[in-house]
Amino acid sequence: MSSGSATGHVSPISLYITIFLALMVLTGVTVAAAYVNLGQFNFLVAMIIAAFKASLVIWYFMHVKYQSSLTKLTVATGLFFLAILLGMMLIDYSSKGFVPMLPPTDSMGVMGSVPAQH
Amino acid sequence: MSNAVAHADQQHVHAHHPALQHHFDTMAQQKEAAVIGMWVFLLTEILFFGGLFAAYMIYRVWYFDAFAEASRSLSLFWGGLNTAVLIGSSLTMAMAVRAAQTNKRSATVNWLILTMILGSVFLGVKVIEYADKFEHNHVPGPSFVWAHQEAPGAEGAAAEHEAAPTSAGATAGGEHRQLSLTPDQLQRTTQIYFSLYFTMTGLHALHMIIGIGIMCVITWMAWKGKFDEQYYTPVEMAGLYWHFVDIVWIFLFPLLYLVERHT
Amino acid sequence: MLDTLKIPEHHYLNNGHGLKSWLLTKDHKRIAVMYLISISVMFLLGGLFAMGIRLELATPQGDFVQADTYNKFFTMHGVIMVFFFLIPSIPAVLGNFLIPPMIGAKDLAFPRINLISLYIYWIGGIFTLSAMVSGGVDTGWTFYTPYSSTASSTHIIPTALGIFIAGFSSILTGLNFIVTIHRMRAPGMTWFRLPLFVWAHYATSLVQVLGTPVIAITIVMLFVERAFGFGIFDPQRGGDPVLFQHLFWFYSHPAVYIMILPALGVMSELISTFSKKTIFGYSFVAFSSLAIAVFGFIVWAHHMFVAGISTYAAMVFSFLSFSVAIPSAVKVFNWTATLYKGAISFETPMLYAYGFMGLFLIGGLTGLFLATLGMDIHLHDTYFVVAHFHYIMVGGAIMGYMGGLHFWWPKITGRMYSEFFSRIAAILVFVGFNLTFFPQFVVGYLGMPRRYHTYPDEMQVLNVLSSAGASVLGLGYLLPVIYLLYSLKKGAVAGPNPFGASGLEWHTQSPPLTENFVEVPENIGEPYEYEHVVAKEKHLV
Repeated sequence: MSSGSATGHVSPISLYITIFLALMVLTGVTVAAAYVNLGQFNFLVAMIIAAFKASLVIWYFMHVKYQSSLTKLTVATGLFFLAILLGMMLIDYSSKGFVPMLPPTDSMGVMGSVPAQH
Repeated sequence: MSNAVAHADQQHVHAHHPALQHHFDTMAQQKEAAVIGMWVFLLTEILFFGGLFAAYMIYRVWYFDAFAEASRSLSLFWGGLNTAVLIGSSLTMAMAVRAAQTNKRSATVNWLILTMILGSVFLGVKVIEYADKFEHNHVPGPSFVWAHQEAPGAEGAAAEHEAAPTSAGATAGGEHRQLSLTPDQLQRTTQIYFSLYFTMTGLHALHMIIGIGIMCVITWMAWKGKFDEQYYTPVEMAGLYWHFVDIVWIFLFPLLYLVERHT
Repeated sequence: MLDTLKIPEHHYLNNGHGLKSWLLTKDHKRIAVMYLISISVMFLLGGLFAMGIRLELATPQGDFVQADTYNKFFTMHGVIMVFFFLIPSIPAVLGNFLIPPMIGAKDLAFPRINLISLYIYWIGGIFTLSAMVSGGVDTGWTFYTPYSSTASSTHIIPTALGIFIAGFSSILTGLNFIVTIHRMRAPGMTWFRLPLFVWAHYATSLVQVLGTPVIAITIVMLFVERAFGFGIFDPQRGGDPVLFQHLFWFYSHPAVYIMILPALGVMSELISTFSKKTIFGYSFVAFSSLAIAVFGFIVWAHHMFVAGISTYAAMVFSFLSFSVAIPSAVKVFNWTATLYKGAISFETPMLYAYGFMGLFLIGGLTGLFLATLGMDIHLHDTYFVVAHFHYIMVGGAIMGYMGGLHFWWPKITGRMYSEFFSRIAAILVFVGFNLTFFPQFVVGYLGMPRRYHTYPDEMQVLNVLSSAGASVLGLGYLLPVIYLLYSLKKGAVAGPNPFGASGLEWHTQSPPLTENFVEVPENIGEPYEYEHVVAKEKHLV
């Protein structure tokens, strides 16, 4: 059970401004990076920057830095289970070689040519 | 140990904050419970949007060409503007919570109103974007029409390409990338992109509308002087919710607007 | 036994009268009672559909109803039983009622959210029931695409919306329990002094909170597909029906753990009380609840072995599905060790507990059959699967619910029911259950497919046995309605602790005060201190 003041940590305004500016700069970086051809890595770069931006929001704007360990654990749990959802679905799709279930190329309303699954 | 048959005395002799609910012992315990409760709710939101991200993940790999083409048709100006507006609204929301923490009533109200204005700007831009999609028949369904736009140098330049990609995905190093989908397949699978686009941004917009609604109530409460440095929990809860909505957009923006922009 | 027991003068049931005092209550106990009434109505409805199924299957031909109607029967049976009965059952009724007193709190962390969860449950129920009344749904409770998204012309949207809304009720209940158990425990009530019922509900709440949103978004995707013609699962546009199944089962497998974990928690309470012994291996049982909750999230594709997933994925999920049996087995071993050299008795709640142990065992072991890839190819979509999950859901979860309801009925109402009729009902349930569902293992193994309203003639004997058993089972469920309601007015006064059980809830009056305790309990001892309780009871006489 927690004791003490219910006020919680009051962050200085300068911190908020700094985080805001960082987020804007990182947005700009994301857009700029999108115009550079990095092949497969474009996606990764964009996601890493986005994850970092999200961390800034969570840590400072949402005050998680100053919260109890339980709160931090709660955030981590959500991310962990999201990772399970995405990761374990990928086990199936990646081991099928990401071969898509392409729509039929003819204009007949048939159910489509399903590639051989194993 | 009381096997109580005697009726409990309900009179409270001790003074406590008017906002303290009786099943809690202290304001701090009440606030801590609220914060954790809100975060548990945000967990559900993470998994809620997560399902859409999962679908997006699979289809982006399968139909990368369609995703790339469709993404390029989105207005980077409006998307970028919206991103800036939403990040700004996160700042104003953080300021609102801070004002409530430091017992500044009118500052709280003002920052909240500013947040709502920025949120409405975001929604207004979305209306513009959606209207544009309707106009161009890019809404998936029976009226969907996709004019396949040839990416510069994409389709005719197969001869220069080393590897024929059997799985979808941009191969490194070439603007002249061979497409893995036929034009007809491209037409059809762009509908999947737009289905996800509308579902993801629509769900996000719905969350924003709800957030603005919640903020109206909180603003009214703040204006009425219901908050002080010991009790500003509703403001903080609204803040957590709003920041989360911002985080979702932080991911949606690159995923939807920035697929293969370099061609 | 004291002859001068009287119903206390003030308790939560007479603290305020009239509809408003109930519909606007913040008292977790009143909310639990309203849930009890609501899910009982749903159980009756789901049971009626089951009756329709078994009536049709008494004969090999499709002569009772048409195929389409039969499809609607099993769909509605599944939807109602899963989403509107089993998932809320123990948490919303027993969990809501008991968790605050068990941890020494006056209420849950968020009483108003508790009330809202009840309203949301009602609204969801109304959506689904109205869809049912206007013609129902025929996709099976699993709503597989593209049939559900494109082809079926039945009332999928309102049904699915009802499930979506009811899901929020489940999420809010779980959210409330998590925060309550973390932050509302009385001083001295450490984690390892909590009753195992509380541990079980904590684990259940984790699953509710993390899993339910995924089926919610799946329903949203189904909705936009049907309502707006979006094409997320449409093969014509490159959509993948298997994607639907991945997203659907990501929730629906953990959902079965939402249904069984609370019953496992009830079991620990019953077994310790009625063998007058502390639970053997308390921390193992506590951690096994958490393990089941976490493991339950990584096995979902065992429902999809023949749906088109890769062999590699199938092997991974098969292996993981075997491992999820381990924590369940840990519990069964620990209960058995608890019974050993205990002072065992045979009151009605314990009869349900004994039944649970045997039936849960069979259900769990047959799950391993299905997790075996080679066997599943043969058994998938047969009655073997139907029998397996009914052994767990009915032989397990519902028996846990009934056992818990009978155990805590004196606490909830202040009255004792007729032990004679309750034992008869428990035996009828056990006999009827086995007669209904054991033959289904056999016909399933022989190849009878599920969700068909006809079957080969040579399987009729077993099907008739099953339908006959269903009647006995139905009678076994009907009896408690009668004697429990009768006990409200005519039952013997229970007193605070008629079973001599441990746990803070038994240290208050029956029925409890609105605020549960006059003073917050102090000197909280170890859980299941039975030597202490027995001695105390003796001094009372």
